[in-house]
Amino acid sequence: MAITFKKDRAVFTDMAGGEEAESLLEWLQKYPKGKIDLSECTHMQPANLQVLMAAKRPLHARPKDRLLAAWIDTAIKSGK
Amino acid sequence: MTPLLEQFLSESRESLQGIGEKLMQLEKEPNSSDLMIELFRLVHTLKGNSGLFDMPELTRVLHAGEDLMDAVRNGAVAYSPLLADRLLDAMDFVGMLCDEIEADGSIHSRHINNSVHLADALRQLIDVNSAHSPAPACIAAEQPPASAEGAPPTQQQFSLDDLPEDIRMGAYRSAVKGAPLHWLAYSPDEECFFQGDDPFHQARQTPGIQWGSITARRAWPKLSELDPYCCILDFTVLSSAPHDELEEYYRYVPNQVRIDPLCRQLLILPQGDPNGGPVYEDFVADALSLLLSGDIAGLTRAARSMLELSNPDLWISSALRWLLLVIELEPDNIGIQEVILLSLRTLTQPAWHEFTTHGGDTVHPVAAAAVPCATEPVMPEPAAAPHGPEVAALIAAQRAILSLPDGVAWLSGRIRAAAATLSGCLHAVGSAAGIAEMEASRDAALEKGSSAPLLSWLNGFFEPELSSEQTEHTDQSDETAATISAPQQTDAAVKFGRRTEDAYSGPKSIKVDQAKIDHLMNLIGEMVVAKNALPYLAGRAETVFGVRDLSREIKAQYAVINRIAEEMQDSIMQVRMMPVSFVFQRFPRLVRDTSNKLEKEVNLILEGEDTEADKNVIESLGDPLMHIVRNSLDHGIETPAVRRALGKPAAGTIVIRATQESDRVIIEIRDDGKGIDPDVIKRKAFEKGVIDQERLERITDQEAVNLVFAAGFSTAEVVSDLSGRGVGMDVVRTAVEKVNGTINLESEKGQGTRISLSVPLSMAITNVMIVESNQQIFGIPMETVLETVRIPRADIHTIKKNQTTVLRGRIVPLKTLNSLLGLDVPPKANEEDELAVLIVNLQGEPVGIVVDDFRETVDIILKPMTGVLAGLSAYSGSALLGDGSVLMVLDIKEII
Amino acid sequence: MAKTIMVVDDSATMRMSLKSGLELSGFKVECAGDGLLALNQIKSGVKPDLIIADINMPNMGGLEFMKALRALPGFRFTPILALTTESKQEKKDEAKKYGATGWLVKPVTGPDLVKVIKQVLPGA
Repeated sequence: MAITFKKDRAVFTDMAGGEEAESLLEWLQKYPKGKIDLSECTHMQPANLQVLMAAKRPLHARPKDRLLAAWIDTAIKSGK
Repeated sequence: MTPLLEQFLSESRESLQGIGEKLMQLEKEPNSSDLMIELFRLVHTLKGNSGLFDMPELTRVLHAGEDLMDAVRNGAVAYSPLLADRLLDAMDFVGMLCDEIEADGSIHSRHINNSVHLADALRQLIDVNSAHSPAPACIAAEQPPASAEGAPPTQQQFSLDDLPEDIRMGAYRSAVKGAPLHWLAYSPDEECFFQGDDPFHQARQTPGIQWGSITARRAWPKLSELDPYCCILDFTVLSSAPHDELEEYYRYVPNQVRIDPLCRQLLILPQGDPNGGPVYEDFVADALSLLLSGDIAGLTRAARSMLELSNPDLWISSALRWLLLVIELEPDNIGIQEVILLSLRTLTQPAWHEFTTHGGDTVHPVAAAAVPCATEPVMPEPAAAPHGPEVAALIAAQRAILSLPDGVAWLSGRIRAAAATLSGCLHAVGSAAGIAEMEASRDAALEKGSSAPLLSWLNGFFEPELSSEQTEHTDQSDETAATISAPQQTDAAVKFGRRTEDAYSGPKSIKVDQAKIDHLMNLIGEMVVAKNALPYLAGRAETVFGVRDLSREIKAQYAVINRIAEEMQDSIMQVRMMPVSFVFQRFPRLVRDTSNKLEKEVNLILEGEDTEADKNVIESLGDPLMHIVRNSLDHGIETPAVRRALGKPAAGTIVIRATQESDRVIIEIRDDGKGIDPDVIKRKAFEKGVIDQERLERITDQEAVNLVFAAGFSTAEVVSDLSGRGVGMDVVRTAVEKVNGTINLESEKGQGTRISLSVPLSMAITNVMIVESNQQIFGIPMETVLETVRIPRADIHTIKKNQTTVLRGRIVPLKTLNSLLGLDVPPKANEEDELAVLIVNLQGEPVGIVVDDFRETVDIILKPMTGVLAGLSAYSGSALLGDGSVLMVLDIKEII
Repeated sequence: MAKTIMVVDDSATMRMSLKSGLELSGFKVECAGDGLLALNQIKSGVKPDLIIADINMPNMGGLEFMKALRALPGFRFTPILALTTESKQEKKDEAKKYGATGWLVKPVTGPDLVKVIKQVLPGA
């Protein structure tokens, strides 16, 4: 699984698949203060992206992948 | 060749033929929308199929044709004969390319020019017709609209705001170097995830991607109500890949993407803090004078120092960075630089829309020239400005500016600037009287802190339809109308497609490769031969083995097999039958084109198109009929003036009628032209040595006109030189005779000509008489045999070394088959010293052929000679007989 | 990690040609002779990242197979490329309706194949 769910944060690594969006959604609802760490993310199936966009939660860490970061920036405002 | 390519070629041929027919019909009913829709569908299908292969020459022309027909279908372009001409030309070209693909497997690159030329010719018709409604900003610049349903990129100026300046500058750089620039909007289907789509990945991998963004189509629901698998994302991509490549890349989701070409100027969007409004007039004035005096170095210096003085986040800094970039990349493009500078006056984004619409890429200072400047007239005389679209563009720009929301700090500056511009416009259009009124509105606006008063004056003073803004709106609503109607049309098209598909479920006919039917023909041929061995076998059973009962049983079985084989043969013949419409269908076009060229008026009437005959027969008729019709057009039908003078209707008539008479098909070509003058023919025939003096005196007029078919009779009077080939009627005769047909011509001077061809229904089965000579057997086609007689040797006379006999009071020349075949053996006579003479019909004259003996007549399947034997003209072919022996069938015309 | 691609086609020649081409490009390839066999393999644990399926196959054709596959847990979003000889758009649209991501028109050549796979399969 490309998303590791901890109590305080969801850490994306590599590529998040479509099936993972449901768990991401559950986790976000369960941990309203949980942080999103995309630093190691290289791609996510857009269902995940929709969940992140709908959650309107600032990103804790932007992807290191510059191209991906540029895309994500247009969809989700990052903030510390 | 791949099966797909074969399929493509065969389908293309059908489509091309359909297109030709539909165009002909449209000529008669130019307003039939059914025909137009069908025509569009045909061109569209053809173009779609061509896209599967790498055949740009083909696709280009078809694409243009599709766009044109789309415009016709939508009523944007009216049907015209010129349109039909160009489309027909284009389809001829496509047909030729198909032939080339079939022959060589590819298209030669030399066709590129023609392809471009034809496509341009088609597109011209679209452009000319839609010129009154100028294309939206950019579309004309590089590419045709991405797709028929693609709405114009009305939103892009605004969306481009989202792009960071460095990205836009990078894209501008590559665009200046000639890279294409496309704005791509990708709105994936809500269900797309369940088709395995990853639109984000797809968008990220877009060829030539410069920048991309993701937005949600609508507001996000609460997390608890979110369906993460309902895709409501929209992707926007700026790409420097060519249109085709993008289309190819998004081919799985063509309905979900819109690709629009983007003018690079639209990227020049200064952004930033206005810093209190437009206060740079001094700089703008200096910079403009530097620019107009051509002092690029000075302008660069001025811009650089101004940039250094300004905070980089200011609007002016952004504009200056753009100015410097344009100076660097396109120092000669003063127009763009000027527009950027002028934007500093109002701190509104450059009006590229007008710039590109009216000026294209060319330098266009006029638009700026009309901008008035009350305090400091650095601009050329406003009077020099034309009053047309430039003023309208300026007014439109002011209207747009005044329509912006009011709540900004620099509102008063904006209102003043707009008012100044409007005042200049009023001067320019000679309505200086309106200035006072306008100034009053301006003051009211300033007082109220709202643009509204000035805006309402503007809307009241300038007729809305005068302004390009308004035109643009109409455009948009037109486009909206188009997009609304488009889905309906697509629906119709889809239904159409389904309907044809439904028809497949219970097909009335199937398409079979010709080779398979030929194979069936060969098999039944062998079957007939094999079956014919049974009577021999029965005979042997009785005579050699003495089993009479067995012999009888074999004969009984033979009768059954024989019946089945005959029915089978009949059925296979039926399969090979095709209607004469196959050759007739090209005549409407031929007559249309030729009569236009000759400036004659001709009505073509086709009758009996359903009449059927064997495929080979039908095909062999194509060229002879073509020559005959050409002759009629060229030499038969007179010009309208001549016809009127003769009291005939101005339009001539050519009737082509097919009928079936027992086992033959009769095709009659009749015209009401000037006919053939038998005296001219007689004289020519005599001069050419086709007939001698004696014949000249005796020949009837009817016989004379038929002389045009004689070999060597090729005069300017009768030869069609339309195609520049000068085909004589003797060629026509030869072609008809090759399929065992006959040709007859009747003509009445001044009244017209009637040519009738008679061809057999089928060439496959030939009834031949077997004759014996010098211990060999030969076949002679029954249709040439008039009768068989036995003539006592005493009745044969020799006249001038030629043997003759008198048959029922008529002198018949005699030839011996042996001598005709170069055999130095005299013919054998029977016990009563009678010689067997076969009377054959040789071009209407009886000729006797002396053979040793007659045998039975048989039905055979004549196989043409192949390989080296094909050169033996004495034989028309060979056939297998029931006992396994080979029968050579003589071609009587050739050996005598 | 190498991506796994499943090739479902009743023609052994086609399977062989696709398999060798894909393996050369670094993919792991599983093959099945028809839709039913492919479903059985998947139910017994084969987990392809992408499936290439012929449309016309005995026992279970491509369209039926796609429909059945989409109902399996874990295969809702797997990209499927339909192998077709059809040039008609309606046929392709029909394949999409049954859950295909895209299509490959036979004959498929190596470079084309990899290009399309890269387009629909992230990380390929």
